[in-house]
Amino acid sequence: MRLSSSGEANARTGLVAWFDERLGLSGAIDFLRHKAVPGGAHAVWYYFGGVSLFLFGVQVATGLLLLFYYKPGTETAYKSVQFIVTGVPFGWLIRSLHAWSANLMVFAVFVHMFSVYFLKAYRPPRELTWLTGMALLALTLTFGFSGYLLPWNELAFFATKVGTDITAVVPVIGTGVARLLRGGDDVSEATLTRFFGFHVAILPAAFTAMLLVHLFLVQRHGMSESIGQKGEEPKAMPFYPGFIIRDAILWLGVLGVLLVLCTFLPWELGIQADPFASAPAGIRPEWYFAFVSQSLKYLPAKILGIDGEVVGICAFLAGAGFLVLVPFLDRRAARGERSPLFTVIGAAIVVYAVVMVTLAYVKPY
Amino acid sequence: MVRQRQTTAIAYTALFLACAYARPACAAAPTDNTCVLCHSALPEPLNVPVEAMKHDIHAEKGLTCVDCHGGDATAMDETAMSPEKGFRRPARAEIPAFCGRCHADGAYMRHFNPRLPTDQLAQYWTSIHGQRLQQGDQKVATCVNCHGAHGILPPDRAESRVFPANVPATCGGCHSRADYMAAYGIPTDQEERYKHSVHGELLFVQRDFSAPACNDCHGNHGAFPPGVTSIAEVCGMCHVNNAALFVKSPHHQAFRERGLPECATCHSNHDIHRTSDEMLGGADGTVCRRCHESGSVGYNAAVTMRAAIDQLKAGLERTDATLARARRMGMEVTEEEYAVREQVRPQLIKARTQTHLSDPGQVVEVVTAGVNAAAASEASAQATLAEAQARRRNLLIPLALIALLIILLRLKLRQLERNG
Repeated sequence: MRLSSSGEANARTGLVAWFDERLGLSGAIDFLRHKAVPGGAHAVWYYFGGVSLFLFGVQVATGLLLLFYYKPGTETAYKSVQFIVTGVPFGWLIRSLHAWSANLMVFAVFVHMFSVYFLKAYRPPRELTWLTGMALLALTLTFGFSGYLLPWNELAFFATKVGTDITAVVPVIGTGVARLLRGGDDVSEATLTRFFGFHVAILPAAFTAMLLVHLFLVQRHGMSESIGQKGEEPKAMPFYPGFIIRDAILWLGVLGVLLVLCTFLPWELGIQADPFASAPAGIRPEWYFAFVSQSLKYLPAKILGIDGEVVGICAFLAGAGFLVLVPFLDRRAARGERSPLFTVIGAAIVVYAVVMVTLAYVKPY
Repeated sequence: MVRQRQTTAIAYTALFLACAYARPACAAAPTDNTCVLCHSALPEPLNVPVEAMKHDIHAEKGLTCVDCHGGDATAMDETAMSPEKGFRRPARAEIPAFCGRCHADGAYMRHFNPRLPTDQLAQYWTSIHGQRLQQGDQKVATCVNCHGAHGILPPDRAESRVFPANVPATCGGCHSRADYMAAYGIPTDQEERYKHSVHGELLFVQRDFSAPACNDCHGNHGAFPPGVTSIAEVCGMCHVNNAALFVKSPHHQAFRERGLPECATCHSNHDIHRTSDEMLGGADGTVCRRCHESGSVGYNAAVTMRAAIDQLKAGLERTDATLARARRMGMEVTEEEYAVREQVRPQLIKARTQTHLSDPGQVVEVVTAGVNAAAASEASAQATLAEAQARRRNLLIPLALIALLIILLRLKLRQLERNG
């Protein structure tokens, strides 16, 4: 039976009204309608937080589907992933989406972090937003590190070996942390099962909690206007519908890119890890850790009598410390003034990381 | 003989004078072994053993000059080397027995190395070298020609003259010398031919020290040229399956009747080249054509075996190409690759081995199993390729939906913004 158009409108209105009465939707929509976000030339950078959020959603959805078939264990992990990509309907797509989306998410999170950095959006009162963002970046990288091992293939096995070896170099706590990560002296089944536990339980819980705090702080303080815009007539757009529809368009675009990548470049499974085999040539960590491993290769064995690797790791820790504390170091930005020194430092970090990652792929040795 | 006595007399005189001259320095020397003290001061070649013994396995095990040569290493005059004190310097013919005093004594050798064989002397007397030595031939190799007299190293040390990679040069020290070997009427190009053989390439180029050198085929202490009928036994020590099939083949009896050396008839001996399928079949240049006339039973068998092997190779190449294409398209084909590795390639190796039985039926049977396995993997790889292509086609549907949604959202946004 076909309803008249006025009948449909009444039914819709009735349904929305029913939910509105119980959930107070009109209040929320009204709030979003009146919430404004900064526009202007820098507006494009504001979308990368949303893209990261969307990709995290893809990770959760595809991760849950993979959990239906994935079996952690040195004897079962590889075979279960192999079954997912060859025997499960659309399993190849889910696994590739999970892997590609993870990499795009790391990329989006980095772009988001550096866009916030260069726009100096970390300045008061958004220090805590920055700190929670840095925590989310760390958690994202840990997600990547733990997930990389789960298929238990040769490349992942040896990359994890190298990665945990580098962790062991950190002074004082390094050896203990490496042992904690591995569940023993070497990468083994104990490592795989605890990486699985981190990846599907501990990290998602921590990430979700931190994300909620981050989003609350974003909502609490609103999006930051760039220093140059201050004092000018602010360019703004309503969060709903202007920003949210543009966000949705971008998310759809990202989904399209993901599907193309999964179809034309399905994520490779490689060959099963053999802990007793010698490491194959071309072992390198995921691209987002490559700038660390590549830098360490150029260091001499000893620097001022200290192991080169130890000096390198300490330098990276110092660099990370600088990024975490930047809201408290950049006093000029805190006063609403331009701080070109921090812009130059940030640009140097980006150029250094891009060069090292490129070298890791083009000229690893 | 007279000349030898004169040389000995001169050497002893020189030794005595040198000891007398060296005596004042002896007090400060770090050793009290008078053999070392005196021989250090002597000219070449009498001082050579002193330096050589510094790296000798016997010296490492704590043995000194007198353990082999007897004499008195505490005496500072010519009595140190007097026969009364047991001094002996073996003549060439005495060398095997000289070394064998210890090396053929299992109870004594056990103190140094319980795993070391003690049958070298017994084996040596069965060798062509040993037999000729007993007949009075002074040119044949004794222990020292291969191991050295002083500065002897165990065979697992790279500097040793009997280390696998050094064996061809050690044997070639005599066997490659045309002037030295002229009296025996045997070729002297074995070493050169070996260097270019598949075994030589493994040993010298790939540094695979398990590759056979001279002694692995000829024996070392019992070295003897293998007879025509025992070559399959020699090659069969490593090429077990080939030898086992060959002795059951019609060639075995036929070669015996014609006095042809077994494996060497087709594969040669010192310059054995890497085998190829081109050796088999009815075409000119194959080893089969050397004996089998066109149209003969042997010729037909060779043609059938070659055709079967070519068929399996073609199937394998096709499957490999399809798998490589699927791999390039990002498809997971590990299972298919495993099947090729475990079920197809071994059949090809097996078929090549089976040719030594010279029974075309057996080769065809092995090949058929391989061809079927290759076809199954090929079909599976083709299905994977078809799936990859279907995925690419089907991608258009979600992409079209996404594009449509984006257009609709853009239109909606424009409408909302136009309405303020």
